[in-house]
Amino acid sequence: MKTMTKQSKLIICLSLFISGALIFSALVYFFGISDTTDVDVTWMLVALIFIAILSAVVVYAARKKIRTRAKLLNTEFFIAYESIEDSMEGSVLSIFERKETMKDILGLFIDAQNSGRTVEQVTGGDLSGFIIQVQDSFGYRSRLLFTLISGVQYAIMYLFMVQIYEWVRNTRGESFFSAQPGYSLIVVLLPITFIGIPLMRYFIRKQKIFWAMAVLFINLAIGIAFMEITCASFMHIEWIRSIHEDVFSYVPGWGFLVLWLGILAASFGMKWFIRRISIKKL
Amino acid sequence: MARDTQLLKGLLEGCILALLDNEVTYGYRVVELLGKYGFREPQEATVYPILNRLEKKGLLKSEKRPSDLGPPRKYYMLTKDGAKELEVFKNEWENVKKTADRLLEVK
Repeated sequence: MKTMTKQSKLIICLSLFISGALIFSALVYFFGISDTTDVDVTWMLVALIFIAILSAVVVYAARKKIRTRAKLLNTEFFIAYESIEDSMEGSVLSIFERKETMKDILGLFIDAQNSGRTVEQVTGGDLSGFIIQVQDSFGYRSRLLFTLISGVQYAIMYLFMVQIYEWVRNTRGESFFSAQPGYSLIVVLLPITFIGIPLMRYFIRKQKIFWAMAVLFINLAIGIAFMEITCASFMHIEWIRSIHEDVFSYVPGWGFLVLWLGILAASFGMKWFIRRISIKKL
Repeated sequence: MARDTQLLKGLLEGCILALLDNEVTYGYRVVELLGKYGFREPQEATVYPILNRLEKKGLLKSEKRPSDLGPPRKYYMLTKDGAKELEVFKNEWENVKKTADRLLEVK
């Protein structure tokens, strides 16, 4: 069995780094506050550490799963297969289409390997070109539209997560709708859903994993820097003070809950519709 | 080789339809058959996207069949629309061939 590839090592190292950074910041926050016996804070600290460790384990397990799935491939073909699978994560194909395509490619690679062909003979020495051709063969040309719809989906899911987080942290025992996270988390993290994630997917599609991760860090750093700088120097401006101090609920009632879920469902429907139209135009 | 690449790419779709009209088969076998018929260095990288596109267009359909060498293979076959498209291709190719032959003879 082949050893872990360079790409897998890089991804696992980055996930360990992110998890480590999350645990470190949680610990710094915990020991920095005056009352470390606060049950709520301790509970949140444990939850954060658990999520960080779990994320790293999930990434490792996912890499192992790719190796198991493609165990019949020799090292040369496996490296190519792994690159294609990672690159597919940045495509606009549905999960089902991605899985089916990867099964087809695995079959092609196994047949080619058994016939004594090399990766270069199979891909013509242009793996990136092969990946793009495969994705283009589905005919989905509305990449920008897909990106925008995905941004809306991530944004809604993110708003729900923040609302749940705030509810668990501050207003447990009260109604879910009464939790009020406010603007600050939106300002720091919402740009990630519309700018960060599309950029990450672009770099993943282009097989530039390092840059994909860098985008995430840069995005977070800009958000945090904005909040820190404005808090330190610009609180006299009304809208900046509002961002820092005002709170409101993202899901203030049943009506909004239905509305958000309706938009989420409609966005999935729209993606399905665009795919259908694209196939007809092929 | 570089000179005839574009021409070959244009023909490949029709030729793959013709191959699958003769034989229900899987992706790698299509590559092998194209090689046997004289296409120089056919690649999976060229053939697989074409098979996928033809399937999406409804000209081919596929089914999984077990393989001794690994996971189940995807076998491709022509649909009714595929058969019609093949006839269109044959007619068009015949016209192009006649025209080109006439031109080359004049020369």
